[in-house]
Amino acid sequence: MTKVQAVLAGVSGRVAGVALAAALFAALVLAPVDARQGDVYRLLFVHVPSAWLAYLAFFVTFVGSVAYLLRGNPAADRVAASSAEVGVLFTGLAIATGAIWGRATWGVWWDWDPRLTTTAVLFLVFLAYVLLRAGIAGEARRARVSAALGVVGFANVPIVHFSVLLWRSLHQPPTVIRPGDPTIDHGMLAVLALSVLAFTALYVYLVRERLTLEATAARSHEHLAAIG
Amino acid sequence: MTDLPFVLAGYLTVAGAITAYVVTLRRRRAALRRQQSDIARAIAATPRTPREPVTADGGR
Repeated sequence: MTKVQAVLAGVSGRVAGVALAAALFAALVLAPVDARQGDVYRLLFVHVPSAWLAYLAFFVTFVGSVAYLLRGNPAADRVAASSAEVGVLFTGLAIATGAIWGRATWGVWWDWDPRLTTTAVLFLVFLAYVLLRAGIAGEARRARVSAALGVVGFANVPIVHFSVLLWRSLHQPPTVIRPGDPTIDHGMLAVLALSVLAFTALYVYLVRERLTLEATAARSHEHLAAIG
Repeated sequence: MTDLPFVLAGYLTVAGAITAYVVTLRRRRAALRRQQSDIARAIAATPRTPREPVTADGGR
């Protein structure tokens, strides 16, 4: 890592830390209480950003995978893999926070609802992506197979998002990314926007860290190959 | 806050998972760097086999 890259990595970590602290304060202190759900709705400020990061991370994986399949660039493969791993983390967190929220409001931890089921499928597909990479020897073959899975796996993202409209669902319909104005109170929306920005900064930091790890691993392999 | 246990559980799950992931990434990177130093040390410690002198036309 060059000095400039090290400084940038440090800055992205600090920006994410400050943004997360501000978002936490706004979510737990500044956001108004919900008239129907009370305070438990505050889970929105970690649940929705986690789901947003899952979409973003798998979109980046999709773009990196397509770039690798078209040009065979190993850097594109590394970006796709790093983003997929972070995406799996946040999909898992969206499911976990959703389950806690579901227990408080629906009375159950889990329901085979279209949104929940398609999200679980998304989580499992990209978990398979991460595990598959660990199990394939040979850099080019590993990159090719995971790029194919990255492209196919991303096809599930729009299905997850529109599942609440395509099928009858217990989960609420989209409140922000929808035709027309968002159906959420403006004060709550501002805090949600801050949380989404903070989580996006965290995503940038985590992917940078993961990419650094990939670069270090690549150098180790080169050293090992050099000594035979 | 009446729903404190649920809110707390959600926020702590997120904080715990992210912290665990960052710690794991750093440990993996530290392990790789240790491996690189070990390889470099092993290369430096390996005695080099003296070669026979070879002339430009391949003769000895």
